[in-house]
Amino acid sequence: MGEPSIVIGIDLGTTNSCVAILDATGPKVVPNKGGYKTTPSIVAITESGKRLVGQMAKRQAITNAKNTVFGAKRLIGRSWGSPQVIHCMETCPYPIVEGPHNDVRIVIREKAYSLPEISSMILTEMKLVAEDYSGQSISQAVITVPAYFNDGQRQATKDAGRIAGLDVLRIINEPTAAALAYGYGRDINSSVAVYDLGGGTFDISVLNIASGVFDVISTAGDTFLGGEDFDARIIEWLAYQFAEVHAIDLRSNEMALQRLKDAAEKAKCDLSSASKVEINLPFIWTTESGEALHLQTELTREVLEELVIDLVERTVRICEVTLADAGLAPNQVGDVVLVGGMTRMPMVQRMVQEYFGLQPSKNVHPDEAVAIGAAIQGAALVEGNDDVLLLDVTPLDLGIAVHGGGFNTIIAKNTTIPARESRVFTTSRDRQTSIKVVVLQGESAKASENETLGEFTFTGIRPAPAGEVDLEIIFEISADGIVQVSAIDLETGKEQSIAVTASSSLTDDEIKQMMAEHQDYLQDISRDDEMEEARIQLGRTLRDVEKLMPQVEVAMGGSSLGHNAIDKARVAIEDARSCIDGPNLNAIKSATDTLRRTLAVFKGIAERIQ
Amino acid sequence: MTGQFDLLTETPTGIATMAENPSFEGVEMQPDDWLLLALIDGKATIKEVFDTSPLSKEATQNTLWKLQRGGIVRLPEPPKDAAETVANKAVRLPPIPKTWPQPYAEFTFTPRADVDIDPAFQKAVAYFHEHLDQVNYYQLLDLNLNASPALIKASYFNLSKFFHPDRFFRRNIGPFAPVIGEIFKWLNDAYRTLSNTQRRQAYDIALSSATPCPIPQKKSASLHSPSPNTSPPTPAPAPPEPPPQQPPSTPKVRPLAEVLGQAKLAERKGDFRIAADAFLEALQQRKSPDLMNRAAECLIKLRQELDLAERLSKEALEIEPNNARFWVAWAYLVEQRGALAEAEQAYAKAVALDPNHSGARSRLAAVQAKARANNET
Repeated sequence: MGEPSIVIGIDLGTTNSCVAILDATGPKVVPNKGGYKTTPSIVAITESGKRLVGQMAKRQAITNAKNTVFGAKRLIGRSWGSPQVIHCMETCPYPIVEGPHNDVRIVIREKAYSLPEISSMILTEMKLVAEDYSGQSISQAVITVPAYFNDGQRQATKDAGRIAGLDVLRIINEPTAAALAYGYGRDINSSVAVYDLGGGTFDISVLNIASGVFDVISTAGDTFLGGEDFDARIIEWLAYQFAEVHAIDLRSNEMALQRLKDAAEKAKCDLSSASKVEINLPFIWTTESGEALHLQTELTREVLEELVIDLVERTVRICEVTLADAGLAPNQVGDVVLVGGMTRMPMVQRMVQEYFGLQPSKNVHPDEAVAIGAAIQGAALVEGNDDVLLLDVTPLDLGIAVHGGGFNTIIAKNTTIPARESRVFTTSRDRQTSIKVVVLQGESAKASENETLGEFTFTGIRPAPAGEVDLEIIFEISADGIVQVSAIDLETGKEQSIAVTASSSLTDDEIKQMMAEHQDYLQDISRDDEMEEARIQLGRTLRDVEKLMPQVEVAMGGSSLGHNAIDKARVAIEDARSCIDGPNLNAIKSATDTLRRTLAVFKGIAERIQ
Repeated sequence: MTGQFDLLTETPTGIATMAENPSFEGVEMQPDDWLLLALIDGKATIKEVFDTSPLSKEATQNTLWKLQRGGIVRLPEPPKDAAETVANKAVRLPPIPKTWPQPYAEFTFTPRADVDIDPAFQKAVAYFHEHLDQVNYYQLLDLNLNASPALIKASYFNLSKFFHPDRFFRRNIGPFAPVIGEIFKWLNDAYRTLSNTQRRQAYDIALSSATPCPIPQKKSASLHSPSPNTSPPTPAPAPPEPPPQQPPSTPKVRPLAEVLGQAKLAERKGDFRIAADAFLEALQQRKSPDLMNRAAECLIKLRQELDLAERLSKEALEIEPNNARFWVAWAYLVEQRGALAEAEQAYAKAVALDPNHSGARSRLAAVQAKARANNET
C-alpha cells in the first residue's frame, strides 16, 4: 500500500537466470542488454580484476576456466564435506575451499568468495537489467528456489539478495511460481502438476487451483538432477569415443574439457529438434610430438536417449511418490505444466505424457514461467489484492533429534504454511536437568543424516526420575518460512525459544561487509561508464581538432597571432593524448574542455577562409 | 476470477450464466434458489436479474452468491474501475456464517485505531477468532454436513483469501497478527480434515458422539489480553456491553500446557484438590483416558466426589482396558463401595496386566483375605 514500487521476480537458475516484472499490461520478462530473455548464471573475474556476469562471462569461459564460476546454485547453502560438495570438487575447474562456518568458498584470483556473494553478482545483474528497462531504481524482489531446497539453501539465497542490495520479500518455490504463471488471469478449477526439470535440479509439485487460489498439495524433487547431469553423460561419451582411438583422456585438460562441455550442451539442445548432430572439435589436443588431434563424431537422438534414460526414469519415480502423497492417481491430474529447459527434450515430454496420460500444457514458456510467477507473487504481496493467493507447503519434515539418535517429526512435509504444531517430550535419564533441543530438517529417520537448522539447551529442569518431567516442544513456521521453535517445561511453565533461520552460514557482520564491498563495486561500474563516456568525448574532440589543423596552419601560419594559437593547440593536443588512456577522470575532463575551446577557435578560422 | 463481491454497490453490467454441467450435490437448494435460477437464462444481465427478482435485494444477492459458491452459476466480473473505487470505499468482508451460537448482530467489538485494518474487518476477525473453539469444522466453513468436496474447497479457498497472513503482508496489524494466524491455521485444519475421505469419516463419527463438538486444539492468541510475544501499546478496551451468552467474567481457556503443569505440580505436592480441579479443567480440552484416571486418583486420595471419580475411572477403562493403573483405581473405588468380589476381579486384572504392580498385588491379597473372612463368618 502507498508508494508505487516495482517488485521484480528473479528466477535464479543453475545455468540461466531470468527477471520479470508485473506492470499495467501484465507480467513480462525483461530482456537484457543483448536482447536475451535469460542471462547465463556465470560469473568470472578477468585478469585485470574486472567482474563479468552472464553472456560476457560465458564467452570467455574457455580461455579463463579457472576463474569462471558456473553452477554456483549447486553449492549454495551446502556444508563443507557434503557429498554434493565433494562431487563438485571433482568436476569443477574452479578451486573450492572450506569457509569459516563449515561452509564452502570458491577461490577466484586468490580471493575466496562465499556462495551468496557469487549469487549476489548474478542477482545484481538481473536487478540492473530490470532497472534499465523500467527506468527506476528497484529494491524489492521475490526470488525462486527449487522446492526441495532446505532451510540453509533458502537462507543463503536470501543473503545473496541482501548482498545485492535487494529487500527479498519472499523466497518461493520454482514449480509453485510456474503454476502462478500458468494460472494467472485464467479461470481454472482443477489439479495441476508442474514438472520442472532445469539445469541443475528437478522438482515436481501438485497443486489445486481455483478462483485465484493456488494450493500446493504435495511437492518433491532432487536438488542434484538436471540438465548438467545430461551434459555430463554426453561429455563422458565423447571422451570415451576419443580415448578409444587416441588413448587420451580429454577431460584432463581444462580447455579441452570446457570445449567438450560447450559441444555437449549444444548437441543436447540440437537433438531436441534434429535426429542427429555432427560434433566437430578441431585441434582439441596437441600430442607431445606436436601432432594436432581432432574430435569428429556423430551423435544420434537414439544414442542420447540411451545415455540418459535412467535420469528421466528417476524423475518419473519421483512423480509417482508425489502423486501418492497428494492422494491422486496420474489420470486425476487435470493438466501438466512443463518448465525448465530440459523439458524441451522429446524423450522427457514423451515419458511425462505416458505417465500422466495427457498432453502437457503449452501455456507457459519453460524458461520464463518461473520468473513471471515470482513477479506475480511479489505484486500480490505488496498490493494486498485478492487476485492471487498462494498456499505453499513445507517440502521437508521438520523435527527434533531424540534420545538414541532418532529423528522425531513435528511438522510433516507437505504441511501448508503458516503452521504450528506441538508435541510433548520427556526426559530420558534420571536426574536430567537440561535437554538439548536440536532442530532438524530432512527425510531420514536418523538424526545425523538430516540437516541441522539450529539448537538450544533447555536448562533448569527439576531433577527427577527419567520420564517424569514433560516438555512441550512447539514448532511454528511463518508464511515467510521462518521456523520458530520453543520448549515449555509443563511443570514450571518456563519457556525458551529460538528463531531458527537467524543462524545462516554467514554472520550479519560478514553480510554487511560484503554489502559494502558490493557497493564499492557498483560505484566502480558507474565510474567506469562515466570514464568511458569522457574518453569518447575527448577522442572525438581530438579528432576534430586534428582534422582542422592543416587548414588553420595554412591560413594563419604567417601571423604571430596565428602562431600563438597553433602552439597552444599543439600543447592541448599533447595533453589530451597523454591522459586519454589514463585513469584520471578529472584530467580527461579538463583536457576535453581546453580542446573544445581550441576547436571553437579553429572552426571560426576555417569558416572565415571559405 | 475473483470471489464474492458486493453486487449491490458494484452491479456488474455483464450477463449471469449457468454452469455447463451444474452439480447440485451438496448444495441445499431452497425454493427461492430455484426461483432465482429460473431468471438466469444466459440473456439477463445482473441488473435485470435484480429488477425482475421477487426477492429483496439482499436476499437476491445472497442467493446469487450461494449459487456462485456452489458452482451452479457464473457471475460476471464487476467493471474494473468500479471495483477499484469500491475497494477504496468499502472493504470486502468475509462471509459471516449464520449458524454460529452467537449471531453476528449481537457480537460487539471495539475496533482499535492503532492497526492498519478496516474497523469492520477487525470486527469480522474478532468474531471468527472468538468462535473458533465453539463451532465445528462444518460450521467454521459454513457448510452442511453433506457438503460436496467441491463446495468444501470453494469455501476454504474463499475464506483463505480473507484470513491468510499474506493478505496483511508487512502491514501494521499489532495483536491481530497471531489471531489471524490462528484463524488461518484453524481453517486449514478444517479443510485438511474434511477434504480427505478417511479423515472426514473419522471426524463425522467423533462429531456424532461428542457434545458439543470435538475440539481439536487450543487457542493461544487473544485480542483481549496482551499475548507474551506481542505486547500491544494499549490493551483493547473491553466491549461496552457483554454479549448475552457469555458472562463477562468467563475466563479464557487456559493453555493446556499451563493447566497440566499446575496439575502435576499440585499432585506432587499433595494438593490433591487443586490437582483434581486442574485435571478436570484439562479434560475439557483433551479427553484422554490418562487424564481421566489421574483426576479419579486425586479424588480417591481426597475421598471426595467418589461418584465422579467412578464415572471417570470407568470411562478411562472403556477407552483403554489394558492399563493396570486404571484397573487399580477402579478396583479401589468398588472396594470402597463394598463390592468385594468386583474389586477382587479388578485387582486380579491389574496384576495380570502388570505382574510387578506391588500395590495391586498387596490390595488383591488383602481383598481376598477379607472375602475369606466374610465367608467364614
